[in-house]
Amino acid sequence: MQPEAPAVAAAPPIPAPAHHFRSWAVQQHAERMGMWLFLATEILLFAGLFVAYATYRFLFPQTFHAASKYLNVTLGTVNTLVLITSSLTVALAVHFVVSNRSRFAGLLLLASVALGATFLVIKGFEYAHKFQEGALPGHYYRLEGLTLPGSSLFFTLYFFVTGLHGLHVIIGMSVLTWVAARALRGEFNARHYIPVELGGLYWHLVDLVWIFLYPLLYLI
Amino acid sequence: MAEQLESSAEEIAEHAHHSALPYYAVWGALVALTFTTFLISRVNLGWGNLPIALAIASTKAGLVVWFFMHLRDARGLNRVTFFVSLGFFALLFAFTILDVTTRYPPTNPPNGFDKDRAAQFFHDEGVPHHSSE
Amino acid sequence: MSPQSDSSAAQITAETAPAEPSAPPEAARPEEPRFPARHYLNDGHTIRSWLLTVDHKRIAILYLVLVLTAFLLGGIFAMVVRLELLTPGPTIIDALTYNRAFTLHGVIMIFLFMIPAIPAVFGNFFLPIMLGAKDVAFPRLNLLSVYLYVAGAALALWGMIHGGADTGWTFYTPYSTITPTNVVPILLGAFIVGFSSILTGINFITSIHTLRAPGLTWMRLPLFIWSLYATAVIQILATPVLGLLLLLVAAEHFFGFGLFDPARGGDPILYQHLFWFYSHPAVYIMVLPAMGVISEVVTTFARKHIFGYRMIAYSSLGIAFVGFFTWGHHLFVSGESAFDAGAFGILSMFVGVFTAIKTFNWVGTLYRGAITFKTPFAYLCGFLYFIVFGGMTGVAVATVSLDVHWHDSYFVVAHFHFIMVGAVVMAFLAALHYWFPKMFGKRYPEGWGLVAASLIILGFNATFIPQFLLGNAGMPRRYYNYQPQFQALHVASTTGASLLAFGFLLIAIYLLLSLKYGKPAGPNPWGSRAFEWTTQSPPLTENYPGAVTVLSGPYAYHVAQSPIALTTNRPTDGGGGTREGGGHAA
Repeated sequence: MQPEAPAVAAAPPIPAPAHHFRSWAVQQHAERMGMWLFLATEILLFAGLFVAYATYRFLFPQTFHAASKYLNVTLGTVNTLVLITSSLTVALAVHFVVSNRSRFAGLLLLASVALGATFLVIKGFEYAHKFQEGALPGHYYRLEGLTLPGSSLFFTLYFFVTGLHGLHVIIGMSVLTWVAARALRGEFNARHYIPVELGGLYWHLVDLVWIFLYPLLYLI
Repeated sequence: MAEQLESSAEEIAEHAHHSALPYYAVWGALVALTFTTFLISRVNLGWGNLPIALAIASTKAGLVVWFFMHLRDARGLNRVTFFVSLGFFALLFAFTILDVTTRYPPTNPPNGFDKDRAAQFFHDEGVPHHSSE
Repeated sequence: MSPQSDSSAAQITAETAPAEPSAPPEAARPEEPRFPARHYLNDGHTIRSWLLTVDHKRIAILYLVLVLTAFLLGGIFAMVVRLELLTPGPTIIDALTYNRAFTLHGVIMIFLFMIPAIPAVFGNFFLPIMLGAKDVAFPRLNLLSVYLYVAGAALALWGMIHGGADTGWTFYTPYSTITPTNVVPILLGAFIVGFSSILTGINFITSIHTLRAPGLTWMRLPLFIWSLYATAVIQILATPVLGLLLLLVAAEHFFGFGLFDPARGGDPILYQHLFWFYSHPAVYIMVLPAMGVISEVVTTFARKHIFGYRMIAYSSLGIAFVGFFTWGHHLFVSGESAFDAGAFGILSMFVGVFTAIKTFNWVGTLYRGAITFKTPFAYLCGFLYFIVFGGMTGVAVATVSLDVHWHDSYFVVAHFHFIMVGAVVMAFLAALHYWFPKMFGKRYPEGWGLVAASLIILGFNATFIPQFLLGNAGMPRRYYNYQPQFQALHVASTTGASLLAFGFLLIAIYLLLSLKYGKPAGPNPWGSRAFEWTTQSPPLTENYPGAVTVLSGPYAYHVAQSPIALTTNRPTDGGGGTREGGGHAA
C-alpha cells in the first residue's frame, strides 16, 4: 500500500472521461449531482409513509403508545447503533480511498456490509417474534392483548416502513459489496473514487431514515 | 469553471488528507445522542416527548448529512436539491396533517374524539380514557 | 449564405470525424437538399444496435414507437367508451366492461402516453443537441429507462388482458382494495413506469447543469430546455410519492393490510392526499414540455425573437413550484376539512397566472412577426385557443363553491381533456411535424398536414364542447347509464370523437409514407435560428462534427451570423480552424 503521501503532489493520473463529458472533473461532478437527485427521490419515497404514520398517530395516540410497547426497545437501540457505526465505516472508507488506500477502504466497506447484515439479522428476530405474537398487518392481526381501535394500523405501518427500509438495506449492501470488491482490487485512488462516494451516499441515506424511524416506532 | 470543479475534488482530498478524527467525533456524538433520546423517552413529558425526540433525531441526521455525506463541501445545487426535497416533504406533511386536524371531528375514524361513538363501533369492553392530543 | 458547407472539408483535421455535407457547394439553389450519407439512423443496422443503443436519438425513436402504440391502444379504449355512450343503457358492452374500458383508457393515456411523450421523445432527441452536447449525462441510464417503460407497460398490459381494473385510473380506496378485478399488475406496472420517469428527470437536470457548451449561458438556453428542466424537477419530487402509494394499495389488495380501510381505522382521504400530491403536479409534467414546444414553434413560424424570454423561463419554474401546492382541489367534496379546501382553492388560482403570462408572451411574439402558416403553426393556433379555454375552466373548477356542482361531472372531464388533448396533444403533433424533417431527414406533405390539423381541431371541438354542456347539465362522469335527455349531446360528442380518430389516422398514414417517399429536408427547411437546425437532417450520431461554441441565443432572427460555431479542434488545444455551422437556408 502506498504511504499517506501528499495527495496533491503524487496524484495518480486523471482518468479519461466519457466521450460526452468535457473533462473528468465535470464527469465526477455530474455523477455526484445525479446521486443527490436520486437521494431526493428516496426521501420523497419514504415521505408518504411518514405522513401516513403521522396521520394515524394523531388519530390513535393511545393505540400507538400501547402498540409501541410490543416492540423491543433494546433491539431497536442496538440496531440504531449498528447502523450509525456502519455509517462511520463507510465514511472512513471514502476518506481512505481519497488518501490512496484503496484496499484498506475495501475492508472498511466489507465491515459496513457486515454491520448491515447484523442489522438485518436483528430485524429478523424482531419480525419472528411479531409473527409469534400475531402482531401482524391488516387481517392477519391476532394480537390478543391489544384490541384498541387502530391497533392493526400501527403494525401495518411498522412492517411496511421497516420492510421498505430493509429492502434498501439489502440494496445498499449489494452496492457496497460490489464497490468493496473493486476497492480491494486497488482500483480506486485520489482521482478515481466516485463509486465509493456514491455507494456511501446511498448507505448514509439508509441510516438517515432509520434515525427517524427509531424514535417514532420504538420510543413513543 | 473547470478550475472550480478541480478544486472541490481537491477539497475532499485536502480534508481527508488531514485526519480521520472528525469522523470518529461525529460517531461519538451520534452514539451519545442515541442514548440521550432513549433516556429522555423513559421520562414522561406529555406532549413534549415527540418534539424533543424529533429534535434529537434531526440533530443526528444533520450530523450525518453535513459531515458523513459531505454536504458541507458540496456544490450549491446538491445542497439545494437536499433542502428542496425536505421542503416538499414538509409541504405534503403539512397539508395532510392540517386536513386531519381541522376536520369536523365526528368524521374522523373512531377513538380520539368521541368515546361513545367509538364504543358503538367496537364491541370491546372498555374503550380507554384518553387525554386530548 | 450556403447551407452546411463542405468546402471546409479540407480544414478538418484527423481529430474529428469527417463531416458529411448535406449538400454539395453548388446546391445554393435551395430546392434540392441532399440526404446525408452518414447519420444516426444508418450508424449500425442490426437489431442489437437499436435495442442496446446508448445514442439518445435512437432512444427517442424507440420511445416514439412505444408511446404512439400506447396512444393507439388508449384511443381504442376511448372509442369503445364513446360508442357505448351513444345510447342510454347497454349499447355494445356491459357495465363491468365499460368500467374497465374507461379505467384502461385513463391508465394507458396518462402513464404510458401523456407523461413520457414529449419529454421522452422530443426531450431525449433534442436536449443534447440544444445544449451543444454529444449525449445526455447518463446514456446507459437512459437506455434503462426505456426498458423500465417496456417492463411496466408489459406488466400493466398483462393485467389488462387478464381481467383489467374497473376502479378508474385514480384507484380510489376502499374500492380499489376490494375490487375483484385484476388491479395489482396494473398498479405495479404503473410503479415501474414511474421509475422510468424518475431516471429521465435525473438525466435531464444533470445534463442541463453539466453539458452546456461553452457560450451557452442559462439565459441563452432554448425555452424548450427550461420547460424540460421544470418538468424534471416535478418528476423527481412527485413520482416517488405515487410509487409508494401504488405499492401500498397493491399490498393492501393482495394481502389485506388495511391501511386505508375504515373498518380498521384507516382513512381513505389519506389515500387521496398521497395520490393527488403526485397526480396534480403530473399534469404539469404533461403540459410544461408542451408549452416548451410551443415556444419553439412560435418563434420559428413568426421569425421573431420570443417576447419576454425571462418571463417564460421563470414562469416554467413557477408552474412547477406552485403546482405542488394545489393538490387538494381534487378533494373538495371528498371529505377534506374546510380549512384545507379553502387553502387549496386559493392556491390553485395562482397557477393560472403563469400560464396566462406565457400565453400573453406567445401572442406578443406573433405580433408583428413574419408568419408562415404551416402545419406546426396550425397546431399552435389550436393550442392557444384550447389552453385559454382549458385553463379558464380549470380556474373555474378550482372555485370550491362551483366545484361542488361540477365535481365528478362531465364538466371536469371536458376541462382536463381540453388541456390534455387540446393543449398537450396539439403540442405533440406540432412537435412531431416541426421536428419530423430534422429527425428523419424527410418532408411530410404540407397540404395533407393542414387538412389533418383542421380535422383534428374541428373533431376536438365537436367531441369536448358538448361535454362541458353535459357536465353542467348534470351528467356524471364514468357512468354507464344515463338519463335520455343527455343523449343528443353524447351523440354529438361521439361523432366528434370519430372525426378526431380519422384525423389521427390520416396523420399516421402520411407520416409513415413520408418516411419512405418524402423529399429530403435539408438542415433547415423552416429557416429557424434555433440551435438544432444548424445540424444536418437527420443528425450525426455525435450530433455535431466538431466542438461547439454558442455565439447567441436560439431566437436571434435579427442577426446574420449562425448561433453555433463549430471548431474542428477543442478550444483548449488552441489550433484548428473555425467555421460557421450551417446557417439557415437562404
